[in-house]
Amino acid sequence: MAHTLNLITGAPATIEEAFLDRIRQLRQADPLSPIDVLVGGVLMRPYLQRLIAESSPGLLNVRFSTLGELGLRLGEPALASSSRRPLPAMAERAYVAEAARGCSGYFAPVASTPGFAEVARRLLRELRQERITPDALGEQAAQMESDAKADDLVDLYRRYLDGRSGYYDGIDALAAGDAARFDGIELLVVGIWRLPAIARGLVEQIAQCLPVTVFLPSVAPDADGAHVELRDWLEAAGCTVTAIGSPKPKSILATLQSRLFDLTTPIALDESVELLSAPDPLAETKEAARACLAWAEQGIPFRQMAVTYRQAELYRPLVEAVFTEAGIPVYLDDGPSLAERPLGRRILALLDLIESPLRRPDVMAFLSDGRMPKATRERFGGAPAARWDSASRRAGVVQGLAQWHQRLTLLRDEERAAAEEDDAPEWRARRVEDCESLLAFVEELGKRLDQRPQRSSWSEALTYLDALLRMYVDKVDDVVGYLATLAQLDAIIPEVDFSRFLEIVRAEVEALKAGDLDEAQQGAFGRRGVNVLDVNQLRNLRFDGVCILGLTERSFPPPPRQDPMLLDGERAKLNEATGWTLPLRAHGADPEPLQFALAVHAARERLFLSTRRAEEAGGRLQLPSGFFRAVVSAVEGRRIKVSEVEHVPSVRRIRAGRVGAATLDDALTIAERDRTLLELEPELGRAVLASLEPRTLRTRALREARLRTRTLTEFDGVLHSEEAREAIASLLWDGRPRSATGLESYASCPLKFFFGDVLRLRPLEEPAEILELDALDRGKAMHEILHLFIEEIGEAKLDVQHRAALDEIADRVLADLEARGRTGAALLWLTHRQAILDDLAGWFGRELSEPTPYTKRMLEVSFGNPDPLRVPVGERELRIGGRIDRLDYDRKRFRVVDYKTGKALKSGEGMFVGGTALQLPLYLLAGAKLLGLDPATGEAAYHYFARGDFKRIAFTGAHLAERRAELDAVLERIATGIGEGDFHAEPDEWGCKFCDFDAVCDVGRGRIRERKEKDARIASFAEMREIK
Amino acid sequence: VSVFAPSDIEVRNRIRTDVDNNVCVEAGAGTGKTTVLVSRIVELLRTGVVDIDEIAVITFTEAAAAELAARVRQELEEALAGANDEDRGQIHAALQGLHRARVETIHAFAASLLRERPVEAELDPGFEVLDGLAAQLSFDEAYSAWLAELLDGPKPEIVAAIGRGFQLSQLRTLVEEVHRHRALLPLTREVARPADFEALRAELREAVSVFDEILPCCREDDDARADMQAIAEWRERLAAVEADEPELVREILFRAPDLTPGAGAQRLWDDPDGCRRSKHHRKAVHEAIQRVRDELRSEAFTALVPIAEEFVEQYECERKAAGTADFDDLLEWARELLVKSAEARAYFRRRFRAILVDEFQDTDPVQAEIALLIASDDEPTGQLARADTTKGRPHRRRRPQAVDLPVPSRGHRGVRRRPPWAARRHRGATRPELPVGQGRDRLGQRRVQPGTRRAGGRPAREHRPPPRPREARGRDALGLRGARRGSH
Repeated sequence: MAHTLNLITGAPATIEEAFLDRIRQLRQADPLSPIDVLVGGVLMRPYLQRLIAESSPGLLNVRFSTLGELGLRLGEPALASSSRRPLPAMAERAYVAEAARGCSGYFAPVASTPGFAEVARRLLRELRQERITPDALGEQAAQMESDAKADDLVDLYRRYLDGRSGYYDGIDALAAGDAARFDGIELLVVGIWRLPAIARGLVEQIAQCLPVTVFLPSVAPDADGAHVELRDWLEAAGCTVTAIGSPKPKSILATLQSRLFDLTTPIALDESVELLSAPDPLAETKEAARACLAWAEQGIPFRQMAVTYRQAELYRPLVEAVFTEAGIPVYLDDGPSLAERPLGRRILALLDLIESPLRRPDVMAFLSDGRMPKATRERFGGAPAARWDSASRRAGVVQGLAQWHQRLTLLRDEERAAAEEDDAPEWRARRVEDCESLLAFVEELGKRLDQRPQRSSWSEALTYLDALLRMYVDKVDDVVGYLATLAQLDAIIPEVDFSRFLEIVRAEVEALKAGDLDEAQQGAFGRRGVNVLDVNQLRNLRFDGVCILGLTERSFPPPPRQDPMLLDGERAKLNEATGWTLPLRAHGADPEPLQFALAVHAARERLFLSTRRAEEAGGRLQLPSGFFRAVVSAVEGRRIKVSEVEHVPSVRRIRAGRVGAATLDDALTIAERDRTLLELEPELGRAVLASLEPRTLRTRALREARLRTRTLTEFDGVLHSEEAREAIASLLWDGRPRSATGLESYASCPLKFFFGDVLRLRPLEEPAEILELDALDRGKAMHEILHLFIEEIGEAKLDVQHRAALDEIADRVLADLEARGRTGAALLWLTHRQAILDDLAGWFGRELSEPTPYTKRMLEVSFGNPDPLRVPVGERELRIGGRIDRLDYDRKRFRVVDYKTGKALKSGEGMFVGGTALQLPLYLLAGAKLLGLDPATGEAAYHYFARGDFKRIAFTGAHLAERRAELDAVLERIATGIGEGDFHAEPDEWGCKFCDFDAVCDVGRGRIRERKEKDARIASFAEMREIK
Repeated sequence: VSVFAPSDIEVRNRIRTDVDNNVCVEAGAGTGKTTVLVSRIVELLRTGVVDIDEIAVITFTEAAAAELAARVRQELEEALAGANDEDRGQIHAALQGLHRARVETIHAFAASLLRERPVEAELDPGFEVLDGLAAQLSFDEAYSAWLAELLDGPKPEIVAAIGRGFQLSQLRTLVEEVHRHRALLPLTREVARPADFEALRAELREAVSVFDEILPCCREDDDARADMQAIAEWRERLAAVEADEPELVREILFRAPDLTPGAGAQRLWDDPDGCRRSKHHRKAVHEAIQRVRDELRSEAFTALVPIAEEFVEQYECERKAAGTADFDDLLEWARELLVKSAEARAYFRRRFRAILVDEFQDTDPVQAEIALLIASDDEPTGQLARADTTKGRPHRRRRPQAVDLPVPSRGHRGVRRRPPWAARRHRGATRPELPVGQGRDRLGQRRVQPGTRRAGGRPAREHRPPPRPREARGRDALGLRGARRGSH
């Protein structure tokens, strides 16, 4: 059996010391020969290197390898001599995914999913590590749930192995490892809790020739279960076991570490251990940063500190953000994903565009996120993405190269015409340039995307992608270089569909960490600053100060997951039947307690443990994990209930809702210092803040004005500034005439009027595919048809023969509408077109059956410029302008007609509806003025068309005579409100729902309106709204 | 140490210790249901009836699940402190593996079933759960793409619906409703009653004949006169388009006279009875028009439902292909997994030997079905406890009652049992409303029989496993034959 196989166990610190002692002994015995150290993780290499360097023997000829590296050292020559080539990890992943897709039996339903490729990769790796062959697996089909499953798995395994037979990786190298090539004087194994069969075989071979010493941490019987399988194997192999006892703890921290799962006597904590209950992860992270700063003040260098966690996706970005903001240098081992960085986002956005219909938002997402290479940028005029975004929105581009071309060309021509007008502002010319450069860019992009191969070798696909990425993505060389290894798949899978190739590339880019491309990352561990690590990476490392975050139930430890391809039950049966040692994923040796214990033992001088009470501020309640409770119980010397945890003296509880630090000196940033001051000394804090940032005074005033007073303030939309009011008043009294609909808008909501009519804001929405004719286009078409028709018949008396002319005009206008792409899907357009024709027919029938008594008519009559309708309002005159659709008249009387294509309003004849229906009375006055007739002789009417629902609503001269005083009151209230700068919000559930400005309006408007209902302006407005 | 012993201590003890039988606990708020639930879990673990991997404890909020897990740990620790040598090993093992235990919300439990058997669920093993906003965005994107494609080809149902006054926004509302209640698919096909034009014509004929008779008695200024004339004119227009059904339909839907059947004053009639008859017939015509309109729109709407179903099914396939699931999917797909896959069903029945459901009154039929499918008596495993609060009587505190479940009817009993909401209907409990038709009977059973084919669609999903031989059936309502491990 083995030459010398040693197992040394003990507390982590003791084991570390024993390892160093062994190096010393070996070095003293032989100062030059190589010593080999097999490590469990890549971070252990620099860690142990430094540890040895700091101790007396020095590093000379101490070689560190992971299992794969050891395998390659011992097995690669044999593999290379048999003409096998290395298979990089990325190519291996892509190859497994391709093999998995070939499953046609039991796994067929999920064979093409990315998740299946991943679980297949892990399982195939495990099978190889356990030296299980496809034939051997096939012979054990009875141990699996079904023959179908066994057959498909064996088939996949066999295809996979066959395909990669010309290649090798670390596992192949381990299998081919030749112990005779091992030239060290001893093999030391550190930080490995489990050895797969393939590694056991090699270690066994080495042990035949040279001593092998395995170091295993031991903290408590329950926790040590994590490496029971390895210990059993070592003992069965006849190893010598040395259990090193721990010296009596000399510090509170050491005492806690030695009594981690023990409840003997309480431990009086000192500053070396801190237990924290925080309201949420952000608060936890901030407290960890404060702890690190405090330790630094005590002389511990940042590089000798570690922050660790279980949920990397939650804590890693938080730690990075909080520590960076606090100016604490960090080394992020599991750095941010490349996809979170502009480079990654841009690459992914470009990949999304390939094989896409060039949707406008996708193109803009690609353009907005980062920069193109300089040469490409300059070729297209260097226009900023924001201007291109605006141009494409204005053009109404939705998707498709043809549409980009057509709509941008149209917009460019319109902009050019506008730019060529006299007195055109300079920006008009820039808009033309933007259209041209964007058009050129999109057309070239489309052309390049179209040149992609449909099916090709991996190398050809990579060549195309390489050129595309270099053309459109700046600083992409490293990523292109990384992806280049996919070319190795040419020999295994000669051809690939480009879609599949894209899927694989996308998955790789998404999985890529920013640090993978950062050369400075190599060797930065333990040097750059506080080491931020997942708890798995912390295994067997030690630091002066350690923060463990997120000790929360169901997060630390998390519930384990089974392998869905080969369940634990099947693995157990296979192991039992064959003696294999396939690991049980959920029901095997539980590594969690040892993992936690090692994290606690990782602290040499300072330890910070925290739990959170919610997943996020105000989020779902969470409870401290069993591990956290175990520590608290050990400190308290009794079992602590969950409900007690945050109330015991040893746990510091941070209350929820705190926005600052505990003291001013604890603040991590200037901003937090300000917040702390505000919390601790509110008056002083406010004064300081006001002097530093005067805008905060306005914020405070706004809050008080809105919530503490019962009158409208400028923060409610009432302008107080004289200049603003004068500007508004001059607009009202001296500017262009107001429209009737503008006045109606004020009556519906003054704030809406302010946004739309004073500031003239308009929503710029994402262009959408037109699925059906919209109401606006329908209305325009109806107006145009009627206008053209009435123009055509002139002043002739309408008769049935005119129907042909109406139909002909309708056909022409609707065909034009269709040609302009405004009518949407053909399927719906047929119906909508018929509805328009129905409405026209209905209108025509009405006109025939009720012949107009007027002898003359005018169409599209504008009024207001230069001679507006002047309506006296108090001592001044309101000037009103607009356009009348149709004016019928004779010498004594007249009728104003306004066509409406929507459903008839609920309002009846002669009504003002609180000022929101002013068009008819004002048009009546305008018609009278235009014709020089008495308003009493006329009427103004809406003619509604809606699916044959023809209706007329009129406001007659009689109505006007009867309600003139009320009309004046309404107009006076509106004019006074505008003149005095009263633009408060008048919430209305229905109106707000369709208001363009809903998103920028205060969500608490209803509450504020209610609170201030006794304000004179609101009261008078309410009175106006009562005028029906 | 408290010396207080509740007067119902025997009942509480029975709930705790009677681990060989199913228990249903119904009690008011604050009476200690969760406490007895926890004590029962500890007893199940202590006595070795189940181990920690064989127990599923389901509740309905994350907070409740965390609280429950923490209480179980605490109780186990206390039990360990006072345990004899025989029990110590069981309790210690339970404590060691507690973080693996399925003490979780029904959604998390359903997700764990899917992650354990993704192949049978035909789902990406690494599937991602979409939260509310992400799920909504995903739906929006899928709907837009589907609608654009739908409108690109011939779809007479859409043309008919739009022609009858439906808007695209209403189609979306319909699709959203079907999607929301997709657990009920396939919906029962409703055949809309054809529009009864003849009844309308008959009503018009009779009304116009009466109007001819009474119109001379009506003064010019009575509002009823305009109505009667409008009806008479409209009847003529209808007659003119009788042969052209599309035109006839448009005439009825959009051009029918806007009647005011209540208009008319007897003082303006020479014969007051004429006024009454006028009102009567105008009302009858008004109602006949509305009836035919309803029939026409029902017909169009009914034709849209299968289209909405198509989208919902297609979108479900897309989600599965993309490896994404929303919260409802977790439940529906877990249920489907248990119904469709005998292997998975058998596996989970072996895997979970005890199921405990807290707040059972909060389950909906799909959730209950998941629990009951696993807790079936196909295999001699499982326990089901139910801790139920009494809704509707919050102020009346009742002591816990331990109730053995009655002997069941045969078949797939977990499903056939009257679901909790059915029992609570009188207290205002609601079940999902269907947009059209009812896909299930009043007890939540699908009407479609296994193997039947939907018109133009895939076969209806198998709903129930075939009945088992009588001798294999268990003894109680849920088929939850409790047994100590190893006794079968």
